[in-house]
Amino acid sequence: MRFQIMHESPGRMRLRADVRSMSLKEADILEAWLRVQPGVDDVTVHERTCGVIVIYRGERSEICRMLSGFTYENAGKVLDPQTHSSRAMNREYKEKLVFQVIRHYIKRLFLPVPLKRAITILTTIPRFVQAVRVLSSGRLTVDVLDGIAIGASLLTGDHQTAGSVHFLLNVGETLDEWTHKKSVEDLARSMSLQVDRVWRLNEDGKQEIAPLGSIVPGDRIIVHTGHVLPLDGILDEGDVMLNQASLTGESVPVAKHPGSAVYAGSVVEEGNCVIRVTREAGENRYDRIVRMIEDSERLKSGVENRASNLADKLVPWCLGGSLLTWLLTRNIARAVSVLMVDFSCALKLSMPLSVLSAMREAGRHKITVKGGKFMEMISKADTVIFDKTGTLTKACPTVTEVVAFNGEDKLEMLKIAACMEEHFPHSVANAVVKAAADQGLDHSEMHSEVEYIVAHGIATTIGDHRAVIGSGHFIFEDEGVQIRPEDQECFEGLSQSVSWLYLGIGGILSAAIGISDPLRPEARLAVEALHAEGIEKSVMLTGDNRRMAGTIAAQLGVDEYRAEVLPEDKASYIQAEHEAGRCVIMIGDGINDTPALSLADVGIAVGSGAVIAREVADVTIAAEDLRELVWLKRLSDSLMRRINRNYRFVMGFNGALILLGAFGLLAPSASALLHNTSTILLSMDCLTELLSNEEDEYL
Amino acid sequence: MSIGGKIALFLGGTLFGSAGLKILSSKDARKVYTHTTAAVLRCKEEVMKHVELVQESCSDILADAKQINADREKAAEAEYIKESVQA
Repeated sequence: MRFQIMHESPGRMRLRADVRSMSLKEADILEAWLRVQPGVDDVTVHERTCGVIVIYRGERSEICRMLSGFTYENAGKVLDPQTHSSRAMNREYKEKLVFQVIRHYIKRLFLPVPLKRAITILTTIPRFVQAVRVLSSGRLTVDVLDGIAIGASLLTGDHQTAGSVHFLLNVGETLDEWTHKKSVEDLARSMSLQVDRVWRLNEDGKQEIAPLGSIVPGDRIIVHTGHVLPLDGILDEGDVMLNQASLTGESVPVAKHPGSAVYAGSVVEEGNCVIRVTREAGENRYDRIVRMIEDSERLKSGVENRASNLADKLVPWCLGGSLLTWLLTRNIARAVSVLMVDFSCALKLSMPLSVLSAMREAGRHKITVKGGKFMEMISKADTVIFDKTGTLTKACPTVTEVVAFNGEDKLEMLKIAACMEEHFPHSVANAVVKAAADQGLDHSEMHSEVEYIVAHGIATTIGDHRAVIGSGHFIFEDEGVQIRPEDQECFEGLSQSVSWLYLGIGGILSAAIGISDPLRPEARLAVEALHAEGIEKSVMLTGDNRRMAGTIAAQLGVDEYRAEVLPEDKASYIQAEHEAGRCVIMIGDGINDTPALSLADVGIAVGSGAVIAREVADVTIAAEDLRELVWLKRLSDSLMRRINRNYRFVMGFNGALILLGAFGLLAPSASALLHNTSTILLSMDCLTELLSNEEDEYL
Repeated sequence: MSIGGKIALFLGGTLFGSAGLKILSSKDARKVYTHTTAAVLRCKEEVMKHVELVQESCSDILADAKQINADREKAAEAEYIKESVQA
């Protein structure tokens, strides 16, 4: 495609595509394609003007060459057809806002006075209705104040002020709605991209991994403990406990038996099952996720609520102040000028805007925050708890050695282990499967049904022996696996610097698989930086033995560590921290972290962990880099600073206006003008990036 | 109002009620409505396009302004280094 360069500065180019028009879909393709090109930092595509803004690093000529090689056909293939873009929604709201503004000013500047008045009165009627409704239900909220302020200015003949208050409130409401919709959509998009592969059970009883898109109604799929049902269907085999909270909001799991209908989005809490699919994956999946998020109350941001609560609390004061002014001065104009300074506009506008822009900023770092509330909590938090495996360590542990016992063959044992582990999305399991693949071992299914015991291990039957694989605790204590006396010496000689996965067949220890899981290189830096950002206590939880945990904790510089932790202990540890009055961030990635993630004030899922972990987490960080956490903490702190500054500014400035109005130093129209201008300036400031101009003070 | 005026109003109303409404809902009138609506929509689209053009120009100005400051900063830095080398 041909592009014309319209404007250029170092590292930035604005181009115009040489086409007559661009559809939403085409704009999406162009933007998504450009975004993944090497050297491109950021892209904005304006579909209406066919404009493209590219922020890049590196050679300009490279970028130009790349751009001229673009075609929709080729780029469209790269793009997942199921991705959903929010371009249409953004367009709708932008249009709405622009026309709200245009209508207001056309009315104000060009319409004859009587018509202007008639329009103002007609359009403000719903506000009075709302005010009366609220009053009759015995409450005194901002709606009442809005109604009275507009009513009073209409009665005193100040139609212009009535009109602009009404206009600002409308703009605030539109922005608020946009914030909400946008956060829902962003979240849904990141969630709908997640489940991608399923285990299909073929007619001949063989299991194979298949992409979700290839499943058609009538196929049978297997879903294991801890997984989310990817599709709707009928339960065919297996009794399971299903958590349908995402559909019904009921958090207690329900028992489902063969024959009952099950729905996508439910989580298998216990048991394994086979499902006969009744509906294939498609758009409805996205829509369902959107519904699910909208239903859940988690999106309500604490700060936004606080803003409207605060605004509500100010109502009696405003009314009282106005009444007092009137009693003291007997001057209606002064009394009205007090009413005119409506705190609610400024608070209602600036809070959602700040939250929206912070969430957008986080989104650019591929961090999904499921609500403004969580940013507030991150900023408040004083304790960070890390789950070790997969979070502090590299997501890819590797098998370093295999020691066979009981006279077994090493490779044979690795093969069995891989065969069992293959069903579970745990990083250790992946390591075992990968080690087997590297050895060129073909492990076609040789066992019966696999049973996953959360955080402990896996059990199955091979031939007529029970085979178990898992941690030492599970193998030797729960399962009572014995070590042959002649193996004892070798067993005791196992190195303590790696963690061991044990395989027991028929009650005898058959192999030990050494798994080394190196720390992420940036882990120590991240812990230090978090301390510098105000975290008082960092804790590492791990299932490892005490000695290994101690070594790693020292390397990391965490304040505390807990070794040999079981998943329920993680949750109770967080409980204890809560009781000690601490605000806790939990960072984890696996199935076994989910209780802790949902219990913590903020649960953060890092990297490519289990789907369910990302589902229950309040924040998901896509990048495999712990420093993103520090960045997020900084962002949240700046957001809170901005919000508090906004509070102070709104209160201080408008308080001053009230006083000036009360003493008759400012006419109602002047105070309304100052109030509105300050509100607009404040709102515009809220839209700027938080972290690049962190130090800038307002005005 | 005189009796005649009232009658005229009544007749006018009746006429409007029968013929006027017919005209307003006729096929030709419909055409007018459709075209007017289309024109309004086109107009709206044009306005939004201009809003975006302004937005683009604003972002150009911002980028240039940032560049000016970066250049100044660089020049000042070079000046400072030169001075400290001389000193």
